[in-house]
Amino acid sequence: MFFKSHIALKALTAFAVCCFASAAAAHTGDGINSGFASGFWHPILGWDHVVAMVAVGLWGAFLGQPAIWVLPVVFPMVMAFGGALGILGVPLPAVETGIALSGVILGLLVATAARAPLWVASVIVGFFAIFHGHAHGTELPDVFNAYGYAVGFVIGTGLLHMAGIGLGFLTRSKPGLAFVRGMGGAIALIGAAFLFGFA
Amino acid sequence: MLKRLFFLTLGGLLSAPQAHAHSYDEGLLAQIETGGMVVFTAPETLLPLLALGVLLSLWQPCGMTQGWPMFLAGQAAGIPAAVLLGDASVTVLLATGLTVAVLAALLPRHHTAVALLATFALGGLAVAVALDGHGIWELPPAFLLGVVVAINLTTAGAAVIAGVALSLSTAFWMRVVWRVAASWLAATMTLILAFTVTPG
Repeated sequence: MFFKSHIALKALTAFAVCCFASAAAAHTGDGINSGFASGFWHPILGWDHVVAMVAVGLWGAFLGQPAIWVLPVVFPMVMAFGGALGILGVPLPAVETGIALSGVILGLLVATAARAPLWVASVIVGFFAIFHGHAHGTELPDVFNAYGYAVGFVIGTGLLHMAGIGLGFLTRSKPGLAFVRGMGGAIALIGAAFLFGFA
Repeated sequence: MLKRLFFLTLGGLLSAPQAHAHSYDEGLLAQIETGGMVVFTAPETLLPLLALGVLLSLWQPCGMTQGWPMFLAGQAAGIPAAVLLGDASVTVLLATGLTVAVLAALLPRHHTAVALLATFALGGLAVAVALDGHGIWELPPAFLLGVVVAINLTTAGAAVIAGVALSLSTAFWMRVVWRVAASWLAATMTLILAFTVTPG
């Protein structure tokens, strides 16, 4: 009896706290007023960027050594090169198409567990990285601290790759392998949604 | 004994006068601090030096120690180089730092000549950037001492952290971690280089 009333009291207290809680204001974008935060959240809050960068880590995990770390090393450096082109105002055609297509292609490579020589994989990943970087470079808000933006942008991107590699370790078990390949399919679909204007 | 030490410490803390650190305006220490802050507050100088520290530890277990004479020679050469390079010194430093970071990230092993050349070049360029806009003997020696101390502390700090981590774990992935760190430094420097050369 005491046990039941104790739980009921806890539930009532929790309910009351929930009723009086103010609205959550996290991730509204209003608070992103520093260069670092802006750069950090820029790749993480855009699904078209997120899926491609996670796919890089996943595909690297599929390809094994040394691709598992070469691809996440190549991607930020080439992406920063694309970002530099954007900052310098060098035009690049079909940037949004390239970003959406990266989700489709990289997603399909993961879904089909495609094998490729290291240099081919690096060229594919590097090619798409330029589009992602260019978009970030041209969308840099003038009011933000440029140095902070650069550091935040690179760390945000790197953490997404780490997430991809971490998920890629699931491929060591059979159910995990199926899950990761399924994720590749989902990534390709998200990329297609951006490519055909559904997202 | 411990009790006595505790009360002595407590008494000392309670009777301590108000701290006046960093409140001096003139004097030797102020000049050293100003010189050091020129390096510590400039990301365009810090990032190449951090990349150099990582490369030196990836090159040899005691890479910093072995490269130090070359590093100091480079810093000496950087004093006249500041006059020769002028405003271009920041761009050259970032481009050289970027090259060093890319080499650290992509190459599995490093040649001695490359490591020592990078050490000499970055030591000189870091000093040149810190002294940019000033004549050779225009600034007081204490300011120069602050610059040199900050440059050496930054590089040695990065080299020690990377070196200790690499010696604690000889596993393959530990080298990968530092090469990934070098790639992040390279990416950041690429963007900062673009900001530096963009007019306005």
